[in-house]
Amino acid sequence: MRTRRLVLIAAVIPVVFSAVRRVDASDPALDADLVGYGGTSSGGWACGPSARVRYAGAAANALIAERRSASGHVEGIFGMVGAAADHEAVTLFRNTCEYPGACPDDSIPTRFLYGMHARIGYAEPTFAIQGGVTRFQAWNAPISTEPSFGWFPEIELRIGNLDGPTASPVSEPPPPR
Amino acid sequence: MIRRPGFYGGFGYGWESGWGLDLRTGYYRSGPSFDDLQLRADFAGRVPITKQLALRAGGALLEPAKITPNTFDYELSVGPTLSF
Repeated sequence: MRTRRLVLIAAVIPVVFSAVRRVDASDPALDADLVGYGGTSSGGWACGPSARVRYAGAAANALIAERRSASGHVEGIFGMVGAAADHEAVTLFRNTCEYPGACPDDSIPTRFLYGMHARIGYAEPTFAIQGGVTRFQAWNAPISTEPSFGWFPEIELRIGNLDGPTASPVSEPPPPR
Repeated sequence: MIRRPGFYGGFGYGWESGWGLDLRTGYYRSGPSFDDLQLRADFAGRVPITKQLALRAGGALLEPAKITPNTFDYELSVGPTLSF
């Protein structure tokens, strides 16, 4: 009976230690970004009204990577997904359209507009490359009554000392001299 | 950036204390239309709070659009970054 108890305790000890083991650089890394933003724009119509657009929104991104270096930089293959939503309010100043019917009589509806994107990439200490696609809502024309979805390819290249001592906010402070 | 794609370039720098700075500029879709791109300069700072949490804040200034030449457009942003 006593031997059985000792064997059981001996078997439990490594389980306990493995459960609290220190996370090392070979474990997958997970980053999450949240951002709130706001600003103004002119509307951006090539042929449309002069306007002032006030927008406010929020976006979130989640990134999972193969590993994280000691400095905190993500390395290896990684994937990222994100989404955003804006509340955009358009105030028309004046109609500058050169032909009738190109500008709205009243105003463009104020509403939420959405976007999302997905990327995959690969990172090393001196370079990182990623690509993906973003899909977002916008107004096709000033007289549109509903926004449309458009898409845009995403390619990002980073070069330099990406794995420097402070490449990430999770980096350790330098050792005392 | 998800709703304002464009063509941009820039650089970033991190200090030993964990603070960071990103600068970039390029042509972005200013919206809410699909049509025009505007020149825009972005800056963002990063402040470490804990080992897993950092706070980012940024701003952007856009060139005046041709249709509203006397008006500067801008954007401000703030939010946390969590690392696990």
